[in-house]
Amino acid sequence: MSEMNQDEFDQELARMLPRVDAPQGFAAKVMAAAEAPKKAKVIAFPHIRTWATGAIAAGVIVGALAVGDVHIRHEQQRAEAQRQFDAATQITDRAMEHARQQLAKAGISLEE
Amino acid sequence: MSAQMGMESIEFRGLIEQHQRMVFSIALRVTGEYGVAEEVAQDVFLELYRGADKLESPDHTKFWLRRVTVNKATDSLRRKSRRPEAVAEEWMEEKFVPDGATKLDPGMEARLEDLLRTLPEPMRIAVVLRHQEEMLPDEIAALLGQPVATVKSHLQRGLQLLRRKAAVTMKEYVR
Repeated sequence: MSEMNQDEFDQELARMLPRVDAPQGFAAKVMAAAEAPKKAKVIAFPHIRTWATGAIAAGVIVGALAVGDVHIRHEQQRAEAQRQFDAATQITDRAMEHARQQLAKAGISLEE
Repeated sequence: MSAQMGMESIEFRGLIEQHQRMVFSIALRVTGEYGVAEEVAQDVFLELYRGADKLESPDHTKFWLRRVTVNKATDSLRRKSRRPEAVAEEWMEEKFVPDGATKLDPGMEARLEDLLRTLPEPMRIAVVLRHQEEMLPDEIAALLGQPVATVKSHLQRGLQLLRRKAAVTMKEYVR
């Protein structure tokens, strides 16, 4: 086994790690991919397409649920407001009737 | 369409032909797989096609191509969760120090490529850029965004590891 220092090893390594040729037709393949329509690129990466489709579907479902939820909440608020309005109207009618009876007892008629 | 993207087809083809060996070789030695290296190299040039208008000079283009190739190659390794390197620390133990140093033989070249693939990723990248691309440590540091001392350490440890592995696994080639 002959002696070899680090520098010699470095030099040998540089000699043994030359650049290698790209695959046959590499440039043409890249050119074709670069000039292909966008759709072809999506097909070339099916995992991305699957992921994107899933994300869009999830977005649509979440959106639909959110819209449905907002609609239900609006309906509930409207029904509650109607109920409160009806209660207030009944209370006011009773109060008015009571006042009218008190005035009648005192001999005062509102019709006059 | 090319004009829209900032580069003419002829110019782009010229750049591919000029740099394809560099890009493919870096990708191949970092990923360790021919098919993966081809995919990485193709992605690199497609990104160049889309963003070439941001590159200011031939040197900048070369720097950009090397950096993007290293990044895409390492991303590719991580996506596939492939860690081709063996347990490096074991090889760094003193018991693997050869009696003399290793004299490389021409017959070792293919085996050396195999050994290179077993280096931990940061060491492998540093060794490839230093010895294939003949870049200086400070150039590698700038390319990788690392301190020069880190790059030198990766180089030193990478070479040490290669020598030890070569001495142990390639005895038949050692003179």
